[in-house]
Amino acid sequence: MPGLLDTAVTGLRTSQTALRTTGQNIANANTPGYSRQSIEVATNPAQNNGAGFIGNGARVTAIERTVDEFLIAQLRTDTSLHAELSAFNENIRQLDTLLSDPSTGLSQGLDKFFATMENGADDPTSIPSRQLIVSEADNLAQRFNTLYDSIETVSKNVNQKLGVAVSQINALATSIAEINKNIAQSIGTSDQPPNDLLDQREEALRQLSELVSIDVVDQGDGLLNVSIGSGQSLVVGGDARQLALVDGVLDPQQKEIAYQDSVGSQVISSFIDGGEVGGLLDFRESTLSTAFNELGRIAMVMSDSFNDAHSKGIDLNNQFGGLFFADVNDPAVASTRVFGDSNNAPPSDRVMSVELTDASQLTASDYVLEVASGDTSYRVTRETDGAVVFSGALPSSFPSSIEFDGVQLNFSSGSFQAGDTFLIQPTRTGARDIASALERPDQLAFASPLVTTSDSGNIGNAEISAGSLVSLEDVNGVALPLFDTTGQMSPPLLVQFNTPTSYDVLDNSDPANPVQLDPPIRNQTYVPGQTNQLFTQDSGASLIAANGASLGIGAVTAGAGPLPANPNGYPSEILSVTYTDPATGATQVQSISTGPDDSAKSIASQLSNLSGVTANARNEMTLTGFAGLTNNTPLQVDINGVDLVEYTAGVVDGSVPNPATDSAGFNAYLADRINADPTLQASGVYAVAGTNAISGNPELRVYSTQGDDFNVTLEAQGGETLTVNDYNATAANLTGAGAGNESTVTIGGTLDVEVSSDYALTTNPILSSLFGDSSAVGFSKSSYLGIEASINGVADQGDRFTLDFNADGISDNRNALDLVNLNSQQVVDDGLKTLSDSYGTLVELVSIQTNASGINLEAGQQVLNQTEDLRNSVSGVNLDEEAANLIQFEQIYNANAQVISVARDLFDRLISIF
Amino acid sequence: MRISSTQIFDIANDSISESNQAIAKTQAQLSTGQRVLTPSDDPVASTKILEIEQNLAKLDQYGKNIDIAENNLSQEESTLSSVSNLLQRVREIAVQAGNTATYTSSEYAALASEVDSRIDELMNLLNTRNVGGGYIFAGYTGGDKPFVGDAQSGFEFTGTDGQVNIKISDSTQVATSDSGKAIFVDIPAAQNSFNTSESSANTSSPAAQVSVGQVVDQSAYDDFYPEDMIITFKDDTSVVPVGKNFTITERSTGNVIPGFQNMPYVSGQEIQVNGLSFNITGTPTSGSGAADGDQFFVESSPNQDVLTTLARFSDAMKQVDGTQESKDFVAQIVADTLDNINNAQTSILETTAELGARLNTLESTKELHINTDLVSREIMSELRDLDYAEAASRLASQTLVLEAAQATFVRVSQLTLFSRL
Repeated sequence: MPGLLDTAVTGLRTSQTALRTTGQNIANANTPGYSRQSIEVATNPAQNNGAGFIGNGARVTAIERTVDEFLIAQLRTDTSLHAELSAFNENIRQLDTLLSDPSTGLSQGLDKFFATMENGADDPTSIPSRQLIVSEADNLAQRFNTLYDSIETVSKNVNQKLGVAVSQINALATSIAEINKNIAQSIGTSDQPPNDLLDQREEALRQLSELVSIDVVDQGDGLLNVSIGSGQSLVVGGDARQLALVDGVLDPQQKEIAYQDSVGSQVISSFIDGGEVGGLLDFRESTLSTAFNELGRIAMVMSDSFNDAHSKGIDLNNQFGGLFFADVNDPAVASTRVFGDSNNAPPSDRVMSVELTDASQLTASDYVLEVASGDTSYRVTRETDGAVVFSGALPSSFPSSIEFDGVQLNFSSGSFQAGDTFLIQPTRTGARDIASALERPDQLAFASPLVTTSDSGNIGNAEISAGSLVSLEDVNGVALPLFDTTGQMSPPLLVQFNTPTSYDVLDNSDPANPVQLDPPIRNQTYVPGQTNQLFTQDSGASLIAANGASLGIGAVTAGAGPLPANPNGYPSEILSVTYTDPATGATQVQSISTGPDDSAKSIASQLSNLSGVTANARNEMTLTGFAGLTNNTPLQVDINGVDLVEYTAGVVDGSVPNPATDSAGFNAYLADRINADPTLQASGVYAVAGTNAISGNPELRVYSTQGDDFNVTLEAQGGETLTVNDYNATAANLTGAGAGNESTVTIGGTLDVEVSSDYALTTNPILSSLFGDSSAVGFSKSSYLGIEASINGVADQGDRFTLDFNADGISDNRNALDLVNLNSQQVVDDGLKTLSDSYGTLVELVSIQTNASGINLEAGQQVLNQTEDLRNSVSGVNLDEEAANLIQFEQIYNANAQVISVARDLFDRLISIF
Repeated sequence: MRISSTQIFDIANDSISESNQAIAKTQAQLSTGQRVLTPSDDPVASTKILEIEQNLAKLDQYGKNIDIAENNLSQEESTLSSVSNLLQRVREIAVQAGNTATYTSSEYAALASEVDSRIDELMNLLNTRNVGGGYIFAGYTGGDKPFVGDAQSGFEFTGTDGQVNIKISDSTQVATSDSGKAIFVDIPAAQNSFNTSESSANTSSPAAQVSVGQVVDQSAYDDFYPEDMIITFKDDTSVVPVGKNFTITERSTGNVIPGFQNMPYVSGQEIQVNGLSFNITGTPTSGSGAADGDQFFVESSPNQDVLTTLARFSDAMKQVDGTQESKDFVAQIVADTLDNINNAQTSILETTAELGARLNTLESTKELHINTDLVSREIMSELRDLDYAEAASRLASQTLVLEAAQATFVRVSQLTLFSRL
């Protein structure tokens, strides 16, 4: 009987174990990571009793958990992906709302600000409108600041979340290592799997994969090794490495994830992907930086372009506009745009700063400056596309600076060394640093400093444009003299027409006696019916006034007429114009060789054929000493082949005044004759009968607007003389020698040569007979005045226009309109975007990313759900199933108990026999 | 497939939470009436919406600008009409004054005094200010009276050329003011005229003044025209006895006008040169050696300002002393004045016509803006606004789904074998 009892007991034990396992399953139906367990049952070895093998019952060989290792691995991967997308989505949605919400976004702020500006421009004298602009500028700046702060908060949250994630990773890694040890121990002491420990470890790994993407490798002996990123080990057997959140090497604001041990820390952020940490890092890199930088760029471009335009206007107190927004190049701010690598070799004494030079070229990228480890060569790389924007060798003396992408990087001082690295963030804090600089409404510079007036006495109908200030500084950033003195224009200018087609621009400081400017703007050609720009717009243009020794009057020859025209005696010279490419420094030379006796007109024409050169020839002479002549035959004064003294029937006409007694009358007669002659008129020659300011004697001033030589011939009674002066007042006398004999002289013209930026005129020989010493200081003078104005219509001789300081021009809103127009001007990204466009692009960028991440998150969620489903399907507890098992095992138990009862019956029966 | 008990709950949870999310979104859409709640809902549409919103804000501002421009132009228009009426009255006086045969010197004096009061009235009109206190005909210097002076010392326009422009669309600006110089000063004169002025470089204080003057001999002046003259004060020692003296030169040539070299100066004494008559009052600074002292300009002009026209008319009438000569002079001035008033009215008419054109531009631009505004709002509505019918039916179907999920869960969760044990 003992056999039957024993067998039944094994059955009881087996079903008890089965019931306990079922109970365990039911108890853990809701435990995360629990895998359902089942028992493996085998028959005990049978006993041979001669008749055959008789069974010895059953035994439990193992309690197993139902798992699919592939599904577990898949679940980890999907969890990482989902957690990454989820973290990214959660953060970017904040940004999306922040940028688009009317109460926090920039769009409405910009609209409101510009509307207020227009209101101000509509009524420039209104103090309330101006006050509104002052307040609204402050509001706009604060809106930028608030938006920056909000994004900064998002950024800080990211850092905090990273901190929490890192401590969770550390805790999980520690617990995984601990479980590893326990499992190894269990496996060492028994050959049965420690199911619950395994489940615990799997759950810990799943939780870890929510934080960061992991790789799990089975080392054997029940140990699992865990690595993150691209193979950075986190758990090796029973040891866990600790991570830490440390300040960024380049940017302390940016926390980085690093291995931390007693030696130091090693940043591994860039290797980490997946999980919440991966999502946060990705968000920070791709979106947060862009948002900061784009917003900063808008703020900086806005500040700079407003300040620039505002500085060109004058306010209610006749002062040029000051800062509208705080200076983007404030030294205190400029120095916060560069961060030295904390690993740069000591001492950390390097002082650098970044200034904005050209707002339109500014990018929204960060830059990295790396000095090569071996030498002092360095390069600057643009982060967004990895392009090298500048490379060079470290400066040997300070301060020194380089320029790229619209910014200037200043090396102020310090010991720059091989291997140094710097992070350059030109725009990062732009939105934080913008501030309104206006304090009072009268500081708003709405008026243009320039006012133009046409003289009421003008006979022609030509009109002068309102004009505008283009620049207060020359090409080198030095203040131009025109508006350098407060409240006035120095000098005020006068445009005076000498003929209907030529004018001078004069210094009108003394309205009774306007004088030439230095360098002069004279004998300019005026074309009726088109817009004639008065001033060069080439800030690098310069002017060379011909000033050589050979210019002007030549030698007098005398003899029997008709004499041929004398040559002007001008030498042959080589004139070269050199162009220097400002970018490369390469030069290009164009040369002409003037012929001997070429007229100024011809030299000017040859020079003007060269690119970058405009030459303008003119000529001028004065005839004096009329009292030395009489109006007796054979008196004749001939200019360029035109006889001036009229003859009737072979004798001097009676209408010709006698120069000996009425030299003023004779002077006026000659002037009339010259001005009435069609040939001379056609060649731009005109005359003015004037009086010498000093001697009070009459003098005939003859001008050529085209620079033709003047050939003057006198035929007169013996001993009578006429004096000819060139424009330098060098004189020559023509002397009469009776009928048939002539005395002649030729006066050569002179010329002004204007060359464009980066062009220079040189002469060979250097000491030019035409131009003077071309190596002398001041040989070429800047002709850029920094203003713009034009005249059109038909002008008449003597017409005048003045340009002066717009004193008390409080109703003038020209500069206000310039400021308003910045709203529609494409001032960002090299003329591609307006300020609002630029913000719109940022909103669009973020919204597209948000939208895409939402879709990705949904997909990630689906994938995760499916995998979880599969895993649950395999390993999850089904209570109905367990209930059925419960009944089944209970029945088996009951049956075994019945067997024991049968054995007892059998035993009782036997006993009762006795 | 095997289903674990967790899955049953998971499925219920997921589907109920998804339905809840969908319903919450539909609810938010319904309560705001907007389909696009955040840009990420529809990035393409929201970029467009942002653009349209900006455009609408601009249009709104342009509308305000146009209102201001219309106000300014209307004020100018009504002022011009007052000036025109005033000139009409002066023209009537001029026609009366043409009766040289019947009018006596005292009657001329009466007419002159009426003209003088008209001059004061005209001065006020020309110095009209806008609501903001700016002088509307001053050009850029709206803070300072543009027309100053009186009939004796002459009138001067101290404003500037230049107009205030108002931006009424992205590409259009409309001038909303006109400089008084163009309307009232640069008026073609019946006869060649002239203006007198002091050089800005003068140093005397108080500044010596030159009077507005008269053309007393038109034919002599016509011979000299269009030359300008400069009156320059020379060194006191240039004359005997030593004293202030001046020389008159021709501006373009520097020639001394015959007979006007070193003329002794007496304040207020009439200077007659080349058919012009004027005087200088005050104490001009003398020259020193070769350096010149104060200078005064007599500039020829084909134009004469409307105030001077009236002043010269009044002046001529005051000078009537009953002699035939003085009456002939008045007759000549009356003829000139009638012409000049005609020209002034033409000038005002031209400006009024231009104002009308600008008002038309404003009106048509305004209409354009209203249309653009309407179209933009329509587009924005299409992009952003919710289709209520669609949203309502969507809400119904989403509610149905949620109810079904809830009902299913309740039923399924009750299906457990344990309840039967």
